Amino acid sequence: MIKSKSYLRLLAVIVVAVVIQQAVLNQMVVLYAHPDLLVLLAVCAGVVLGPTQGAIVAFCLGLGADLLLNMPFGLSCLTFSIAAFSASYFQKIPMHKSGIGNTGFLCVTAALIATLFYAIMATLIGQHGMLTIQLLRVLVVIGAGGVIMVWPSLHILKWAVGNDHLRRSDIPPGGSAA
Amino acid sequence: MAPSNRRASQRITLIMLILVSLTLLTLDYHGEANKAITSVRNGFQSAISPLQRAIADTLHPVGNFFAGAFNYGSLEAQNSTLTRELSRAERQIYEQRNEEGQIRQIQSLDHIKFASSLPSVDAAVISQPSSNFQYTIEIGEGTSVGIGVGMPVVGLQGYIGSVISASSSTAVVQLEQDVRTRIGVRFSVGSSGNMLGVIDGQGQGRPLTALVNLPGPKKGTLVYTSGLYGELYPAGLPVGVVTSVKPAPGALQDNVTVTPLVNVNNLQFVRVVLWEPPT
Repeated sequence: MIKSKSYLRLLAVIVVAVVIQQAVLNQMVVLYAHPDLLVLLAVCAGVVLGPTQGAIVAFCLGLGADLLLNMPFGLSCLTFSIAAFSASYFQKIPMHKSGIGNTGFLCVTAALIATLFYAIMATLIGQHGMLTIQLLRVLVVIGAGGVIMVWPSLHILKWAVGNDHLRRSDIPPGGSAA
Repeated sequence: MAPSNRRASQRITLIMLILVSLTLLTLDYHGEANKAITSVRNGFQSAISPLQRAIADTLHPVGNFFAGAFNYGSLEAQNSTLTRELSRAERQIYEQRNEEGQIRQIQSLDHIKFASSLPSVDAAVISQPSSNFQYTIEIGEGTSVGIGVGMPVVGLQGYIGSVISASSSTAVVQLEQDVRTRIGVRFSVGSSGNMLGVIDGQGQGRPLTALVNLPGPKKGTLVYTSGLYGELYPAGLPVGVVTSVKPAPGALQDNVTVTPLVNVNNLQFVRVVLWEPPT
């Protein structure tokens, strides 16, 4: 269970993440796309905090993302909540022995799937131009950015909840998700 | 709590969050609620715009400096003082160059030949696209200086995009290559008159396209906003130049590709033409 002090920390993490996304990461445009910290943090929240609290934190991150974008309001909330919830469930599947999965890899993959889901949902509700070559560029940039940011994201969330939810062995060394 | 109860509770939480999200989405499409959401968005963007400006001011001049500074990692301790002085001098050079570049960009806006009879406001670009799926920029002026939704935005060479949302101190500009862009245009074909068409954005980094009745324009033809009654933009804003004309097989129209005149990468200043489309 999360302590009340941790809620304040989580709130601070969400606010700082939104500001960093808008003020810094949005300016780092590569291949006409920029890294997405918010979707990555959302899936990391699912992994670190579990399905219930992770989905709630992801929803709040989605609210922050929706305030930044001129896209349908609530779409990021929907996508992030489902992504966090799903990521927490996949986290429970024991893949470590197979050598193909670890927490970082799971988070980056979940962030990519969430982005794809976002594009599909946006298309379904009438947004044009979501399923184009731009989507591939976006996935490449978010994947690359995710590999760099997943380790600090997991640790920041772990610090925020003040609880050793995450075993050290679960966090990929050196920031690599591979 | 028993595992089955816990799982049920988790699912109920997710379902609640999904329902709230769907409610927000529905409200966003509803008239009055949409206004409320837009005002909250604008307020939020206004609130963080000072920080964005500060970071934009910092990143523009210092970005290259930091890129170079990473190479100094293995300097000896006795060189640290000299390094600091060198870094300071380099930063000053980059800042000076940046300021000169900014002055040149601002001055260049004074040489804009088109839409000179219309009132306008110059604005700094404070942010690149917020969304990976929308081709937009954010500028550091808003409704407080008369900027409103729908107003065209131009650079030295021509049309850049149009304002799609505005708060008191910031505005979001949808660039002409965004897939949602549709512009009524006139192809300047000299003595044989003018040819009309509608060009569409095709996404980031891709040229604009249009279908034009045969015989289509020639390669190199300049394209301007048509300004016909009911159009979203005033007449005569240069939009682009025709770079290819391909006949559509079996059709009475040509596929025309138009390359925008303005390179929107590294834009630092733009001009907003205070012209609203007729209602």
